[in-house]
Amino acid sequence: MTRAFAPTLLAVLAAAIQQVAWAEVDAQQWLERMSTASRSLNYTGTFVYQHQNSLEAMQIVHAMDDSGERERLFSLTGPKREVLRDNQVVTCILGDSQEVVVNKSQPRSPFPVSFPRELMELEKHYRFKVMGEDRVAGLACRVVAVEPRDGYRYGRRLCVHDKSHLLLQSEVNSAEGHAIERMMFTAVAFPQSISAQELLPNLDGADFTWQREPERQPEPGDSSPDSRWKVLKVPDGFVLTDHNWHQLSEHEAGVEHWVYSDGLASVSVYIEKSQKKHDVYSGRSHRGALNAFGTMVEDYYVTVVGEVPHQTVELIGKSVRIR
Amino acid sequence: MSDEIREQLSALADDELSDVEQPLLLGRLQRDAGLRECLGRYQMIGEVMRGIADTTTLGVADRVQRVLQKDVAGRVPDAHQQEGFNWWKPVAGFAVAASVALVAVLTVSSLRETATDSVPELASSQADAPAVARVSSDQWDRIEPGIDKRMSGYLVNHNEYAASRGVQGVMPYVRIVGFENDQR
Repeated sequence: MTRAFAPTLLAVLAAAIQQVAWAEVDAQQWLERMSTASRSLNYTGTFVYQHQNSLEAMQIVHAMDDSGERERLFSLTGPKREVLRDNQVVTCILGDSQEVVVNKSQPRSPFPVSFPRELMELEKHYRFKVMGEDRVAGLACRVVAVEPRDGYRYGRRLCVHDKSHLLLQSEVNSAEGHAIERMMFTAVAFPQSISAQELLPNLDGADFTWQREPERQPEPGDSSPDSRWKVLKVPDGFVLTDHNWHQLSEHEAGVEHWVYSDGLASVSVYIEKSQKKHDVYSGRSHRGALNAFGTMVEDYYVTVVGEVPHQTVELIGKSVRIR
Repeated sequence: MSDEIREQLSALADDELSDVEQPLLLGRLQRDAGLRECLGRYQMIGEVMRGIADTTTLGVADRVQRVLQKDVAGRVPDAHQQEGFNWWKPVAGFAVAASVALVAVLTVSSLRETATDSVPELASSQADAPAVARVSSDQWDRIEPGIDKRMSGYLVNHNEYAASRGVQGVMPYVRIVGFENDQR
């Protein structure tokens, strides 16, 4: 009887393992569709964003047509702030600090479900699950959970619209499952077309201080010495995906920029020469799930920013050395 | 705004603020436009959550101010208790809506990270999650004048790189638009 039972047990186990594997693939397909939908759809919506003790309402207008992707995001509560983005530039108009920050936009890549090697790497660090149905802004959506396997990254609980695959609700969680921040649409529409008027800012920012990324960016080795820097420690799974020199504004010196990604989360390391001798720069700050850590290495500011827990940016920041 | 004031606002909304604290907070509401703005914002968010918000109704703080002023005009000058009562009435109308939002806020306010005493070594994918416990509050040993400007540039730049790959927990730039300046 035991002999007859063993193959059955094995078959059941194999089926269960297969089911788990399919669930992971299914979750990743939802994420891939979501990633595509957020770039390719016309949509407008109002949503709330909640972090720690604050709750803010915002509105988004997103258009995709022959001229490319254009987006306008603006606050409905609190300080007046707007972000306008197209395929060339990102313009952040910050009404409260009377500042405008203009950066070049980067081409958006799809979620790497199409690259099996990256996918296998992701599964080492996250568990993917498709959960039940939910309803957000009156629309049916599918809950997809992404759980971190260690404390160096955050999890996500997403609700993806059944029909359009737009992300309707999301929650960023710590490894222990505590919510760090939430975002939820309260109303969303998918118009056939978006007028140019809807993508214009309310704030003109003409008399604000402008911080504009210059057209010509320094090349590696241009003015700065070829990188003398190394980052000794990054959590397992994070790999270097970009290494650039930027000049974030015309009046400032270049910044060396390293980007590490584990496929879901990204961490930036910025290294900038201090203009003053014996300057002090040390500490940390956060915006929802985005943590920053700053320290000085010799006469350089080292700043690490990422949508990862505080200990991850601190681990990376403390390991930056001059060769 | 301190957490204590937010908690008091929450308690006020829930009608649980002590008799001792109530006149103090209401007095502060009279003086502090920012606090009234905060109450107004909760009302706006309550409306947004119910899907009835109209972006033309953003001057909630002004409306609160008008209600408060109207109330001050009709107040009996020397009746301190009565004053508190009169103040409470108009505020309560907003507080009911605010309580919807505040309940939601409080559910997330437990987001404190747990802390580790030592700096962790390079993570292993199989390793247990490091115990974190510190509140992830802002702590700069020294705020030199350019730090805000530098951080703004970094955040915008990082957002663009982060959005160009991976899956962010929220839409790109939400954290830039949705954050009031803590120094305010």
